[in-house]
Amino acid sequence: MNRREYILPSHYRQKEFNHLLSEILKRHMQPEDPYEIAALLESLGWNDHRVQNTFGAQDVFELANEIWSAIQRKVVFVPFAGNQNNSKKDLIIELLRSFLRGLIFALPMAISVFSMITLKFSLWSYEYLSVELATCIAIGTIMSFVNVGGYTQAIARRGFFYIYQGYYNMAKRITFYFIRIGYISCILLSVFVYIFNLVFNLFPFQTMLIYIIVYFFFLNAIWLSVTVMYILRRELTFTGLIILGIGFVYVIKDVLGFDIIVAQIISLLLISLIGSLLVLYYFKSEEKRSEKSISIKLPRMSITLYSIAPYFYYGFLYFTFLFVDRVMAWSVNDQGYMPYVIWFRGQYELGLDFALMALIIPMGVSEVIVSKLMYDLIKSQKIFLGHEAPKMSKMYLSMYFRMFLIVIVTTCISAILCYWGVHWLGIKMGREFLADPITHFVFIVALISYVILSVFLMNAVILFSLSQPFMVTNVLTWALILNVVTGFLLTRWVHYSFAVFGPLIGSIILMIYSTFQVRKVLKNLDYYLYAAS
Amino acid sequence: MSYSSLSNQLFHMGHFLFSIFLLFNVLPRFIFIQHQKVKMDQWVSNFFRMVLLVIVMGYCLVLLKLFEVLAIGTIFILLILKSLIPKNKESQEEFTNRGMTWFLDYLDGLISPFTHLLTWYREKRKSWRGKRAKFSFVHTQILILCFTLAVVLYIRFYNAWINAAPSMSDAYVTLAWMKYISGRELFHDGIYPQGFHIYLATIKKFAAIDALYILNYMGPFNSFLITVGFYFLTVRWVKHFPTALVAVLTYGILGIYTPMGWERQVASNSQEFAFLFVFPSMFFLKKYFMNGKQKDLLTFSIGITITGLVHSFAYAFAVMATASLSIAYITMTKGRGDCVKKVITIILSGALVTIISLIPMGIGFLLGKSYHASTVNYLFEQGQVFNRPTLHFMDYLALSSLLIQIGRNRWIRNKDQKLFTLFTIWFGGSLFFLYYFGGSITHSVLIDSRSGDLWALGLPICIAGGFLQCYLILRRIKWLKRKLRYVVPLVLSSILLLSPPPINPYKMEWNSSVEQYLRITESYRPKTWTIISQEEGYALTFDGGFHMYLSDLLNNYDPTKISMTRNGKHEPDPYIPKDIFIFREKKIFMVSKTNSIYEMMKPKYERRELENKKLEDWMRIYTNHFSNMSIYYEDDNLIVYHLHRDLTKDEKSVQIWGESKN
Repeated sequence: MNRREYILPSHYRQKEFNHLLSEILKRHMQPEDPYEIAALLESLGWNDHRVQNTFGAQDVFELANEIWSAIQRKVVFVPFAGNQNNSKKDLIIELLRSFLRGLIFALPMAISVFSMITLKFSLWSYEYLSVELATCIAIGTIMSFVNVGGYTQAIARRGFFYIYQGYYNMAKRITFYFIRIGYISCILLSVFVYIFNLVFNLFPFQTMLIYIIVYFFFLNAIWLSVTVMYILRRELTFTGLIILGIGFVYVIKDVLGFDIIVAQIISLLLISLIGSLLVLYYFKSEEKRSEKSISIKLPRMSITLYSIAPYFYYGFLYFTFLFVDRVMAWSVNDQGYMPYVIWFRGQYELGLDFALMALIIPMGVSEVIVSKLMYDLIKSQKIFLGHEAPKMSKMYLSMYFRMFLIVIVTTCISAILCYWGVHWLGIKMGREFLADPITHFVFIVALISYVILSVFLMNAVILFSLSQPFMVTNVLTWALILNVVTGFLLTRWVHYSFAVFGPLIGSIILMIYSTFQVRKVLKNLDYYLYAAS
Repeated sequence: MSYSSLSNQLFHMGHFLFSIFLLFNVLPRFIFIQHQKVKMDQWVSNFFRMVLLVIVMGYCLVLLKLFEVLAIGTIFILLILKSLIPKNKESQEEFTNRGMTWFLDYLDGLISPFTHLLTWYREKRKSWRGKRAKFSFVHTQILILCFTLAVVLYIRFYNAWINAAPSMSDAYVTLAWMKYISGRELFHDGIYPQGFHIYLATIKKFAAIDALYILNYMGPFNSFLITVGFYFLTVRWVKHFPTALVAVLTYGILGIYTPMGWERQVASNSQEFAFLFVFPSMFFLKKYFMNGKQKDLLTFSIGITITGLVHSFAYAFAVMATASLSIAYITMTKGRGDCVKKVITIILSGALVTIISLIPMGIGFLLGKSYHASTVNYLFEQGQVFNRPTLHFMDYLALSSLLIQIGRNRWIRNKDQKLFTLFTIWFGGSLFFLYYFGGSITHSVLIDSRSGDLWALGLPICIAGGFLQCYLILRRIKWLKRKLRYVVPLVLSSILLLSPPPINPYKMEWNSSVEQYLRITESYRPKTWTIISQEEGYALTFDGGFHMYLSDLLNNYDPTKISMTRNGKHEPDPYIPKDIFIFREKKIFMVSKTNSIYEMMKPKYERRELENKKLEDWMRIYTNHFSNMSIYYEDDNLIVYHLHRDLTKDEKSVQIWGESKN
């Protein structure tokens, strides 16, 4: 049989081939040779197995040759014309959607805070806990974030990659692969903590360690489900789950009369189970709706993991950066009051929690302006001619600095609002939240840190969008080390609350260095756009 | 779980031994370059280096107020990384790539860690089987040595396994100082070498058990290591197992018949800890003299530096040993070759070691501290009349051994054995002189009381040296040569017949009192309880809970008001935790009247008698007024009362969130 006849036998394959051809041309109007096409195909997730299943070609290179021939036969000359401009209304709606998406992400946190103020408990905290249990929950929470951080980034990166192309089946498989590893690492970490505790006697098993592990495990499960809901654009579902969880706690504790810890553990278990089932359901339903739900073999795991390793590393580093100052503060043995190696101090936690609210609005704004930047960048690739690259860079540099100012101003306003909001709420409720000098001090320094950190977050998203994750992880590694060293020394030499200077100094470094990196990228924008494509 | 129960001892011994194993066996393998050819030398060298690292690091971290597991662990990790990661960039890349390739191959299913483990296990099993098949004379020696050391261990550890109360009066000082170091406080009671206390505090951090267990185990463990040190010195120097066994038996089992303070063998004292480095250091000095290698000079210097950082008197002993060996070496070589150069090097390194040993003292002065008063008094105390000590069988045996060696010296051809004999003659002779004439010549209380300990340390090598020479002479007699193989079992069995019972030193308080302290620490969270008792309770509770002297309770608190209310106040003292334990002695604990410290303690015992009577009245009044007092423990000697106060919801909230919620 003639090979050419074999490759394109059916109507479906012809349709798929044409679609692929247009995808390749979208990415590069005039590819240099079949090898470049092969590279583009691989970047789109095509591997030898998938090529064989879909087109019957021997490997990616054979398909690339066919596409190359097709392009040569159908030489298309597309004028340098601007993209179809969306109407202002569409643009505003799109931006508003991004902003709300950023805000919705903070909704569960707001609901938890509201629940704490009104009901005195939330899904995993309680106002009248003993310090032992508060310590357990805090450690469990920190461990869950640090453990899950890398997986959330990996799931988001790879999951989005397939979902954007409509391959829900592949997205589901890769997502569940990471969830599986996430659970395995959670179990391994729990076993390690248990053995470590057995050897080094850090916490009593029955009254503390068991709670640390239980909270760690369930919160881990919940965060993994949340990530999937995020990539499937079901952010509101998680908010609903939090409300449901608080409802469960209320029923078990206040109606059935169980202890708060029992109520929370049962609720966490139920929420993590419901979350996992919902995720499975969402994927199934998306798969049914998708045209591309055919089962194709995933690329080799080594290739997948190699390509997402920097994002995984980023997730791990970022969450460690956010929480390590608490470990520094809570491990200080000051005034001889240190029953265990880590001892929860609510004054410090409250200051940080209040300050975190200042990030809600900047997150939404950041989402909007980065979306706008990326939207314009895609357009500009088709507008600017090759020799106009410096002009394009200059334009985006000035645009970036405008964004920089917007984020700074928004965050500062948000911080001031947050400060007065907490103060006002305290007066309204007759409970002065900032009466404790330590809480007040930590709150102010943390507010400043988060203002600075928000700029880094914007920079990180830009660098990620241009496929420069190493620029982010490099600086984050150093910032984390600085955070730890500063926090450790200041807490031991001055006071435990000075741990908050760790994130402050870390954030300053993150902001300065990442700004320089973004500037460097924007100065050579044509090169980085090419490298990212 | 009672203190002496098997499960309790297994748990705590397990933690104690694990921390020692981790700190001084596992970590040094990764941190330091392994340069010794012989395993035993390498182990000793690693131990020396690690102890010095722990002490120096401890001093620095305590000074910087950073002495804690996080800092110590980070330093260890950095040191390990420094030694593991290749120096040049190319090797670093290769190192990273190898790891990455392995990981990616594993992901693609190309390799399986399980198969690797299985292969490794099979190879190990095969090589072990091969070794087992060659069971030889060496294995018999190992078995004999293990058995002897087991007896040595049993004699020393029995007390620590059975009695909770620390041994001898100094134990409470050691315990408190260990805890001060843990609390990042240097020279709390004045300038005194803190090396031993830093070592104890570091082990405590990694063992993660009550400091009392560390204290109780460390004494026997140190004297056990001194015994092992004698084995190491003799077996590696003269390479003759029976001689080494004689040294081990003389110190480890027959020590009771020597002028040493036998009870001190189980007490955790810095002097004994410092002694354990002296003899192995001499072996490395001998190696340096014989082969001139810098690594041996370094190991020797490290050993002596540790001694200097731990105990001044032991340091003087180490200097004496060094001088004796140097003189022995000069005598042997008659000053020929590079002898002078080596001796000068030793003098220079000795000067450097002395400077290093004095640095902590300088730091103490800079911190505004003065000398530890009682130590200085003891150091310079002069007595009136000192009688020469009475000599016993072991002294005569050692002296006879010295005479045999003096007689044989001329005919010894083997250089190692000759140097050993000369060292024994010089060192043993000096120690005997100090022991026999030191007190009466110098009138120093210190020399008079401690020179017996030094002479007892010299005895094993004197006797072992004499035994070696006798053995070598007898081996020349044809009909005896073959029968000499029975010497080891004969010596061993006859000495084991003389084996003393386990050492049981005097205590300062009832065992039950210490056991109740341990029960409280296990049942209640740290820092939530107070013990009200006599002086001994302070060192015990410091760091874990709070302590109040009985006299303070009687003088300052009103028994007609609830839950520890001060005289003239109406609310309970807010600074006292919610659980209070009051220790009342029904029978006052006293050391034996024959004990040298009895006279010193007598006024204290009289005061305690009075206080306990007053406490009985205080309790009667309190229980007449209130019902929140219960009996926590009672036996024939001791009664412990428990007073509990519940925290209010607001107090709990303030504990967690601070003042903000009020």
